[in-house]
Order: sequence, then structure tokens, then C-alpha cells
Amino acid sequence: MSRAYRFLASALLCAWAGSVPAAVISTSNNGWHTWRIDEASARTEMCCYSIRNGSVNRSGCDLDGRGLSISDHGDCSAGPGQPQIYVRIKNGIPVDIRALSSTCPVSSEAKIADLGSFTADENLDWFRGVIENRGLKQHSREQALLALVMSESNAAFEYLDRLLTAR
Amino acid sequence: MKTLARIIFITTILGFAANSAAQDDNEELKIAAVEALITAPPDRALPLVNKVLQGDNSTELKERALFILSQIDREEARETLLRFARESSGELQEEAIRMIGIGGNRDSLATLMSIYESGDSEAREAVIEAFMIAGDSKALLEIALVAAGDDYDEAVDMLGAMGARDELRQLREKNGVSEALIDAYAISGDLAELRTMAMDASDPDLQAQAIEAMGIVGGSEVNASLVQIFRDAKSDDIREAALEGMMISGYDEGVLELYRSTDDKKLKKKLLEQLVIMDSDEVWNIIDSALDGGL
Repeated sequence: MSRAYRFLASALLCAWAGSVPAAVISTSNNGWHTWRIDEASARTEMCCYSIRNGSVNRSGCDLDGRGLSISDHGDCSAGPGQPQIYVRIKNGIPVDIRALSSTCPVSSEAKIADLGSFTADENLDWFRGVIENRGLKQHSREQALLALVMSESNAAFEYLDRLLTAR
Repeated sequence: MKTLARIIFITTILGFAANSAAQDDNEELKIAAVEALITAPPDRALPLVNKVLQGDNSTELKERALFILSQIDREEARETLLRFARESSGELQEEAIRMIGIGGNRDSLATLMSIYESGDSEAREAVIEAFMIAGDSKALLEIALVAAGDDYDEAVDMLGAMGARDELRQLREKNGVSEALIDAYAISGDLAELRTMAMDASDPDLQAQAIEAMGIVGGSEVNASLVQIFRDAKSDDIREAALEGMMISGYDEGVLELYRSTDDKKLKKKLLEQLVIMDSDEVWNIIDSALDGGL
């Protein structure tokens, strides 16, 4: 991404920084950040797995590892938990987004800044900002969509509905 | 099947989400939104998937929606998928049929047989693929027993890829040997059947094909057999097939052994050519021997 492009993306992000985890958006806070979606009905088992000797093993997620193998199905993932969002900020913009179960053991060489919990609506606001920001890489926007689906709020699915029926 | 498909799919969309750069932004976002529904609760995902399928959307978007539908464990999702498999046409029909294979629901798979019987050649091919994806070798055998031409070959290919040796043997008993069957035996690794055909001189062309196909199976037992077949051969075609088999299995030592054991200059030249084609280091053994002998 060129410097000008990065600046534009950063500026666009700052435009909606007033809503949710504002600390994430600060250009000075590079690295991984996490927050939990405070939504009683939303449960997920999303976590990482590894395959050794032909069998699938439960394991935690290494955020620094390449090619994370992620599943939300059965014995290869963590127990049910609330959706826990992980976002890696680089030069002030989100470049990696993961949504895992809050029970999934997660590690990173660098410190993961825990921003606490946010409501489903606050969460939706933040993800809308990423999804609708054409200055960001498509990969990040698509990861944001996958993470947004973790929320079971009506507002999140009404938003998806609008997105899918837009002309 | 569903679990594996979900795991692969989630990993894929996380790892390789940035694709199809040529698609316009809106379409890309819609595709990503549909794909994201794989992790959504079924009751949340189903209405959105249905809306995409009913709407005036691109074939690609609808195809992605059909995949998500195949992963939703609800009767309504199963019925919608079947409806698309029966009533739609072209790419969407073929995709719906394949998705029934991925979904793996026994009742839906049973319905594919009637779609096969009434469908066009693309739909029939999709049904054969669906049965392969679902690992349903009995259904494929049922098709192969009544099919002809390309359909028969396709079904036999799929049985070979599935390693369905019993079904392939039943086909041979009923329909006799064919090129497609020999290829399928090779892919399924059924050396015993191939060897039987390789010894059957009633149809020299099929015999030669079976000998060549033994090379696909490979291994020391095959290699020894191919050298012996070469030595016992009563025609050039059979010798040629044995050599081809050795080339396919990469058995350059056997070719070298034959080279050293013959005094026939024409044959020596052919075997040397074969070693060169195989890019074999054994060629240098021959050259070294020749140099040692003072040329």
C-alpha cells in the first residue's frame, strides 16, 4: 500500500473513531488488540486446530503464526464462549482481524492489548467502519465480515441483509 | 463431509480472502458477506441465503450461496438445494447438484438418480461428480451399469479415483474390459486385475494398455513383472508396452538390465534411447563401461 493510500485509509478510519474501541484506531497503538462482544446470546467455539499424524488436535491460536487453521466445529476447537475479537493495527489501520471464542487460548509474542468488552451495537459500528472503508485492503474488509457474523444481534444481520440486497 | 468442508472453507476464506481483483467492489463484498454466513447460526443464515438465491444476483454469488446452503443443517435448506438441482438450469443446476454431494445427505443423494435419468449431459456429469464427492460408490456402480459412452467412462474414472475395486471388478464381469476400466484399475492400484488383463492376449491393444498401466501402480513387484513381460513378449507392441510401463514407473534399472542382457544392436539402441528419455543416471554407467572397455 502506498504512503498516500495508507494516509487516506487512516484518515477515513479516524472519521468514525468516535464510536467504538477508539483506542484501537489510534495510530500510535500498533499491534494486536482484543475485545469481547458483550452479547449473552452470541456463543461460538471458534478456535485453532492442528493436524498431526492424520488426526485433528485441539490447540490454541498463535496470532503470529502463518496460515492459522480455524474451525468452529466440535472437538477441534474451544468450548462455547462469547465472541472475542482480535485486531492487528499497523500504521493506524486494521490489517488482520480474527474472531475467536473467548475460551480459546490465544498467544502472541507481542503484548495483546485487552480493551475489555463492547456492546453488539458498538461492535457493529466498528465493523461497519472497516467493511465500508474502500481504502482498506479487501482482505481486511472480508475478515471483518466474517467476524461480524459472530454477533447474533438483529442489527448485525439487518446490516448484512442491506449489504446483500444493495444494488 | 460437512465438517471437513466447513473447516477447509473457513480456513480458505481467512487465508485467501483477497481474490478476484477484477470483480467490482460491491460484488466482492456481497460474495464475502455470503461466505461469512458459514459461521452464522443456521436460523440467521438461511433467510439471507434464500434472499440471495431469489434475487437478481450474479451466478457466482448464487453459487456461493448454494455452498452455504449445503452446510446448513435444516430441512428447508435441503429442500431448496434439491429444488435448484431439479428445476434450475446450466451452471446453477450443476452447482446445486455438486453441493448435494458435499452436503452428503442420504435422502438428497438418492434423489440425484432421477435427476441423472432426466438431465442433460452437463447435469449427468454433475451427478456423477456429486456421487464421487459423497463417496457413494454403489450409486456410481448403478450408473455405470446402465450408462454408455462418456457417462460410462466418467463413472468408471470416478470409481477408480475412489479406489472402488470391488465395483470395478463387477463392471468388468458385466461389461468386459475397456480402456476406461484399465485406467481406473491403475488409478485404484488394483495390480491383481491389471496383471490378469496383461496376460490376456485375446485383445492385443487392451493387453498392451494394461501392461503400460501397471507402471502407474509402480513398485518392485510391478517392475519385476514388466521386465519379465518384456523378455517373454512375442510381439514388438507388447515389448513397447512393457518399456512404457517401466518408463512410467521410473524403473531405469530394469531398462539398464535389459540393455546389458541383449546383443541385439537395434534393441540396445532403443533401450539406450529410453534411458536418455528417462533422464537416467544409468546412461552414464553405460558410457563409463564403454570408456573402460576402450570404446
